Amino acid sequence: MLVYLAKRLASLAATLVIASLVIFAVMEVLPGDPAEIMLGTNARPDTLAALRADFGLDRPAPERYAAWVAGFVQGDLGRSYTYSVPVGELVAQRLWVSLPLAAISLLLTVLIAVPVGALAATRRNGPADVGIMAATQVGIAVPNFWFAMLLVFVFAVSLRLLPAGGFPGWGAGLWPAGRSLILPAVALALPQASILARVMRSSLIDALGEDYVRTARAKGLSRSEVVRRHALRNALIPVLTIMGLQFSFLLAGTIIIENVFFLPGLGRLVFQAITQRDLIVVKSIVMLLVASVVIVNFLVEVAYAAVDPRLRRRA
Amino acid sequence: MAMFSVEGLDLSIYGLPILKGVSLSVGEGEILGLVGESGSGKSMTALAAMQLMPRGASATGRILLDGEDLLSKSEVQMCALRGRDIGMIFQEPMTALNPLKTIGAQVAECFAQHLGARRAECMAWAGQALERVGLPPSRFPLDRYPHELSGGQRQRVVIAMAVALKPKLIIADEPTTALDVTTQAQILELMRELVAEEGTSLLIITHDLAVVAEMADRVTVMRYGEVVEEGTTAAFFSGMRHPYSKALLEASTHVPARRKLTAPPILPREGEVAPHSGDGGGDAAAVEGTAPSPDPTRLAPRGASHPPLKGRDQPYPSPSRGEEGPGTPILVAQSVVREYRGRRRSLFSAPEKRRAVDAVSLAVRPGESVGLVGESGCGKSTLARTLMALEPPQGGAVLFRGRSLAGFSAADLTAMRRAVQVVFQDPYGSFDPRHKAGRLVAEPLHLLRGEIDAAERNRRIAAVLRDVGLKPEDADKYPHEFSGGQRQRLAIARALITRPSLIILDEPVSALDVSIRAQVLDLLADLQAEHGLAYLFISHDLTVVRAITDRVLVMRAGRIVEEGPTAEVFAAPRHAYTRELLAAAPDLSRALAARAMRPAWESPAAGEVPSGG
Repeated sequence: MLVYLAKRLASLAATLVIASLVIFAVMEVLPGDPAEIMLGTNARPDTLAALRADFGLDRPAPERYAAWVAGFVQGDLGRSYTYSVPVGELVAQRLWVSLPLAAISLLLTVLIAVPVGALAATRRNGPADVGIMAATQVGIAVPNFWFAMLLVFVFAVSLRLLPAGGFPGWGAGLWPAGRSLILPAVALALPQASILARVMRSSLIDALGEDYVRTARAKGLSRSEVVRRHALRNALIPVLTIMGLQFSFLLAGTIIIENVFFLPGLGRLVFQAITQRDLIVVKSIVMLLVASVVIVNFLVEVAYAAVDPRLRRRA
Repeated sequence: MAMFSVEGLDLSIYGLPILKGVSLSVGEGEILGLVGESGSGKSMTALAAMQLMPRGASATGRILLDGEDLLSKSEVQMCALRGRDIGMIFQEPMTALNPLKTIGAQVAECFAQHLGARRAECMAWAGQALERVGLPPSRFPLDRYPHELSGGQRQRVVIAMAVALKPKLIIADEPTTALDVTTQAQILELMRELVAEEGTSLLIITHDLAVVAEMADRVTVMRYGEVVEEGTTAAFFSGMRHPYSKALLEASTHVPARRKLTAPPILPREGEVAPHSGDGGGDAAAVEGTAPSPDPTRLAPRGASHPPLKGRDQPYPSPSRGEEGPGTPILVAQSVVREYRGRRRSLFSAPEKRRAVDAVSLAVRPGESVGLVGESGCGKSTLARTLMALEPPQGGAVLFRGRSLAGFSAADLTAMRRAVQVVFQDPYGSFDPRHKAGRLVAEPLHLLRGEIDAAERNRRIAAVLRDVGLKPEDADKYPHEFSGGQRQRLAIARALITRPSLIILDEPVSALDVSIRAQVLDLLADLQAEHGLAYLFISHDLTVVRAITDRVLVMRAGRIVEEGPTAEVFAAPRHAYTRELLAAAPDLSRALAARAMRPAWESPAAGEVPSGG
């Protein structure tokens, strides 16, 4: 178990190092000098040079990389070129919108997908299964922003139950802030839940065809007992894999969804930062996103070991 | 009165009849052997008794357990009954247990399910149940997972679950087919003991007549969903009446007639039409007989027949005793060592090395048939991979026609692979299901590097298909359209197409029914005689190795413990392990002899008159 975890941790660290190198290198080769963009094309060369020196852009690349990584590790993400505030503060504010949004979506995804997929698998080829398969097909085909608009139309415009967009901030209270995240989270979760439900269904169907299911039935377990006690846990292993991958889709999805719902989250921040060539912000957010995806996948692998004893060998 | 009986059971799946009027009975404390080949409906009979039939199945008739009709029970009643009154043991111990649950929890589940006892109590009982099947918790803690146990140990866990609640009937469906011979002997012994102790009735389903002869009091033979013969074991073996039973017996003790080569083998040169492919006239006539024949002695007519032998008048009297085959050896292993990196004990220690093959030497000469026997995990297949130059040895050398593979160029390797082909155990698994048979069979032709044109390629495909008893038209079929035996014929055809001088056969008949196995063995013997092929025959099945090889090597834990002419090794094994293997292998004549020695009272049904089929 320890060896397994140590290996996973080592691969996590290696991934982060490689990702930071790639992100830094890409930002280096990308055209567009932030100083030029801030000061405009008519800026005097000495002003440009001064601003570059202020940003530290005149130092050699390895040195800047080292400074960036060192700062990143200490929580100092540098200063935004455009907002002129520390990137750390900027990101922290936005993180409190995006992280809950992604977490709620992931939770919704699992809460929808596992029971729905299990239902379809146990009623294989029955009306429930056919209906679920059709619905998930639509869920996969339709993009999440369209769901977003549909949800806004139904729940905000017609029923007036939930806000159509905007975010009052957590200072306004848990419910006012939380309810403005509900529609975006649902819009993000629906396509992912559709995918995961299908994975759950086929994985459970496979598990139900295994010999140990027949053994359990021969012991006197009913069909539903076999599903609950034996097949479900075995079926979860592929589901976990897909969940880990989906987390990065959810993060990428926030960029669109936050723009649709006018949420001041990381997604909108990175979108604005890219258009404004605020490279230090882009770099930091992308690195943060990479780190969170890698960490989530690490957690998935820890979960594998928790589910599957074959991975946690006795030392 | 019979403890368990099936009366006039008809079963169909989506309207397709599977069982036709099956009747059988098992007395109290009696062991009934249910014999038949795959597809004969023996497993379906068992599943019908458990009411665990596949989708779309409907059954009529009566299945009585202790006087109660199981077919009329509801699912809820059956759940209460399964595991309590009927225990079931399955064929595949490797997959019969839930990999995510401890063995203790899985055995305890039986008690929890039927007695509703508390967890701690169930676990204590589970410990006792495992102790009874030879897995004492002191050595096999209850928190072990299935993957930490061997196949035989897992089968013991399955047996512990089946006997946990002292059921009235145990159904064992091919309980030892997937196990090594020594493990098989232990498991059979265990089942016999448990049944004798509790007076439980046992229905043992098997295709192996030797197992029946060792275990059963009475025998029921099934074919095509019908019972064709039944009787006491002694009466059954002494006076088989149904031709199918006789054919089955013949097939399980089948020794292919092998012809000695009259001349040193001459391989057909490239570009020539091989002499054996001929005009196909005689062969084509032979393969006409593939349609189901009304002859009741014909086994499994869905399989293909093989071409008749033209030279059977020169039987191969006895394997060449000690004398060496002609020419230099095709393949030689010199003290070959194969090591694997084991797992690390801790984060910082070097991984331990595991020696899978330990200083093994062997030689295969042209036209010779060499057997390599040993139990699973002894390193046979690892050795085979090294011999095929798929993995390099860590010590020693493999020589192909006198030259070490270590110095081979890519062109040398191509030449070697043309001459050394391979056939694996699972023919289906080694075929791409989306390719047609012709393309699959022609696969190794890439080794000829474009030396032959498309017409010659097609000629060769047709020729090898005829060689293995299939039709040239079969080239347009997909693998799933062939039966298991036919797929193995395809695999052999694929090996033949480069006109090799040696074929390495890795358990080529282990997955086949006895009658199909006999046909494939005949085919191999014929091909050897016709083409002067050498075989390296890797198997755990001593009967098969005995039937088809001249020399045999016995392998254990990576080492060759004994080698010599097959007949000598089998007649007078020198090494203790060989003797152990031979003693463990179910042997029909020995079992029958032992049965004759047993006093009559041991067999409760011995006095009954067999009712015949």
